Amino acid sequence: MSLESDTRGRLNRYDALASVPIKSADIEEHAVGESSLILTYQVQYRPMFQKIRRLVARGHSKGFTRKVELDLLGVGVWRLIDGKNNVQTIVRRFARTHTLDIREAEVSVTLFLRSLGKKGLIGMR
Amino acid sequence: MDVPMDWHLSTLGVDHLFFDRECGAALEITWAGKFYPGHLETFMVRFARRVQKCFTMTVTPISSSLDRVDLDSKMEVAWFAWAIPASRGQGVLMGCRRCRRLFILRFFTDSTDMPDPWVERVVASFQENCGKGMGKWKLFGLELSTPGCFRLSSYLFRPGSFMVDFKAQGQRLTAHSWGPASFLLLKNDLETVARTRVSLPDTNPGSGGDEQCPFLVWEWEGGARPFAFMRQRHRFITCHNLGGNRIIALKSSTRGGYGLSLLDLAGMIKGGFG
Repeated sequence: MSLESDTRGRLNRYDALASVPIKSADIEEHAVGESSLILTYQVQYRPMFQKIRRLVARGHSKGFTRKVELDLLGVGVWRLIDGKNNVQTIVRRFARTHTLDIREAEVSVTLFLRSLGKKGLIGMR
Repeated sequence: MDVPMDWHLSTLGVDHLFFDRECGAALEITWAGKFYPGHLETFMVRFARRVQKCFTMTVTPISSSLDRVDLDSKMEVAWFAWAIPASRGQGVLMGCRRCRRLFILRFFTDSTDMPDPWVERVVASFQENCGKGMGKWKLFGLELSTPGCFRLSSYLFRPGSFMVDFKAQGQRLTAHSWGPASFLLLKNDLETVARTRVSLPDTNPGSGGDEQCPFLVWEWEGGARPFAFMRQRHRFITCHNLGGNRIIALKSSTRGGYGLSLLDLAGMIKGGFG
C-alpha cells in the first residue's frame, strides 16, 4: 500500500496518523471541576445569513459564540494537542492512559479529532 | 493460530477474517464451504476459475513448497500464488478431513516465490475447532470460551462498546465489553452502567465472586408464554475487570423446552470473573 495520498487528494490512514493537530488561536478554556472543560469559540455566520442580518439591520456582528463541553476522555486528548504530538502519539498515550486496545483508541481519538476539526477548533499540519 | 504480533484484526465476518499490519493488508481467511477429502485439486481448479472470473485475480498452483510445512494429518493442503494488478502474494487451500470444511488463506506477501517463514508458521499453526470441545475467542482484549456447538451470529465493535453474539440450538450467548471502566464508573455504579446498556428486570441483582472480583447476577424468565417450550430463561452477569479497565458482561438465554441448562457464565471469560 502506498504511503502517499491517493489520486483524489484524500489522506490515507498512515498519513493521517502522522499529521499533527494544532489548536485554533481563538478558543477560551474554562475548567469545570476536575473532569470537564468548556471550550468557547467564535463561529461566523454563513455569507447568506450575514446578508440577511445586514438587510434587517440587526447589528454588524459577523458571528456568534458557541460552547463545547469536553468530558474526562475529551479533556485528556485536548491536553495532548500541543502542536508537537502527532495523531499516532496521541492515540498511543490515550490507549496507555486508559488501558485500551490501540485500534479502539485509534477509532475513538480520530473520531474526536474529526469532530473538533469540523467545529474549527483544530487544524491539521 | 499463531500470527505475528504486529498483525491486528481488521475485519471479522461470519465466514471470513482479515488481518492488517502497519504497511497494509496481511492475511485473509475465508471459510469456503464443504470439502471432500482427496478432491483438493478439483477445488483448486474451480477456485482459480472463479476468482479469475469474479475478481480478475490470477491463481497459479505451487507444488514445491508443500513439504516444507509440517502439518497435522487431518489437514489437506494445496499452495498457490495469486496476483492482481495492485498486489500479489501466496495462499493455501486447506481442507479439514474431520469436519470437512474448506479454508482459503491468502497472504499479502508482495511476492509469489517460496513462502516466507512467517507464512509457514501461520499455516502450520492453523487449526479448526471442528465443532468439538470449547471454542476459544480472543478479540480486542475480550477472551472467552464457548461450548463447541455455539456459532458466531453477529458482532459489533464500536469504540467503548464491544458485543459478540453466539447462537446454538435454543440457546444464545452475548458477550459485552464496555470501557474504559474508570471513566464509566466515575459517576455511576456497576448496576447503573449495566442497566443503561442492557434491558434488565427491575429486581435487585444477586452477587457473587470474591473480594477481588465481585460480580452481579440477574436471573429471570422472559414473557408469560402459554407453553413451557416457548419460555425463555435468561441469566446476566457483569463485573469490573480491573486489569483490563473494562466492564465485562455475559448474557445467556435458553428456551425451556429444549431442556438445556443455563451456562456457567462465570467460568467462560478469562480475566473477567476470575
